Amino acid sequence: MKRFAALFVVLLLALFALELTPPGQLVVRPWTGFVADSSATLIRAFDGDAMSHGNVLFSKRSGFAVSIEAGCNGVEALLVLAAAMLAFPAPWRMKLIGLAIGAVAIQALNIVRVISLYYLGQWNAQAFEWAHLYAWQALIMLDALIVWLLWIRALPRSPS
Amino acid sequence: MDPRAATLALLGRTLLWLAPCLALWYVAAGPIAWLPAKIASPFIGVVADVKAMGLRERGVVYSVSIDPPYELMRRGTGAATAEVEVASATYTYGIALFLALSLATRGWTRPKLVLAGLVIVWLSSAWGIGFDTVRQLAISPELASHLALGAAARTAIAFGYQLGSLLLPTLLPIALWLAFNPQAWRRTPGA
Repeated sequence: MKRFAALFVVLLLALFALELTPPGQLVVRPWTGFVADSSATLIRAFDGDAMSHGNVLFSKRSGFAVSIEAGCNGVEALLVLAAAMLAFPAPWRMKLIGLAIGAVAIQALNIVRVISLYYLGQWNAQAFEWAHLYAWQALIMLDALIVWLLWIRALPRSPS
Repeated sequence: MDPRAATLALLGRTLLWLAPCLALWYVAAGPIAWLPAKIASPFIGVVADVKAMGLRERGVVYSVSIDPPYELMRRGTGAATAEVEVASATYTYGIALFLALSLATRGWTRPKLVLAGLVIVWLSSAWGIGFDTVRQLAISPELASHLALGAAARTAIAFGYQLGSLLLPTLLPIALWLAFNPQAWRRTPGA
């Protein structure tokens, strides 16, 4: 457990620092734009109103806009999950499968978060703030935890 | 119970507990920031003298004074004063997450560990509060000449702030819960 914990902390800090550097932002910024674009496309499929520009998702009808910033693009939760999976003793194949499934699970829930905030913000500012700052932050990291726990359960048994 | 079903059941129970825990925390979010804000004061003191501290509904306000560098002081420039408000609640909500996870865990019989975890998560919010305050001071153009921060100091402040706002509030509660409940994630025969 000590080895796992130490490796996890080192990997997480390295990944997190990388995310904040200009090369990391070369990936994160287009990704955040993709999240805004995907959210707008999904909303339009049901509502026909949302548009996106860069990392901003906005409503043409109400003028309400949400800017998807660091912490709202699901990247941090993904980095935590990646560090946890890479640090855990498991076959590389399982790590890669886990990372792929985990990325989909986290980003899918993150798009639900963005869409829910888009509607909440147009309905009630206080509800938006509460969901944005506290509830969804906790839920996204909880998502990463559950994916990691399920991944551990799916690992082949280590020889006793 | 099948381990995977047990994990999903844990998720379900955690979600059920999270709602009341968040509501309870939200009610207390103002006053509980007092101690972490006090703990953060000496850290803020590295860049500015904290003259006073006050609580808001879900935030903390620091009144600070910053002496200019020696060169400016020699030319007669006086100390600058500023008020910085930090949304402390954005650093303490991990308390609700840790409590919800702990209450959702079947068979926990160590309330002292839960209490210890709550205290650690609570006091660790001093990191975010401290770095947020220093960041606000550091990015203020009016205070730039007084602070005269170097590039390395600015980078350290930015990294500490990002760590305190994006990772610590949610990661620490989960990490502590995992440390206190190794049976939840250790690979056991049959798991």
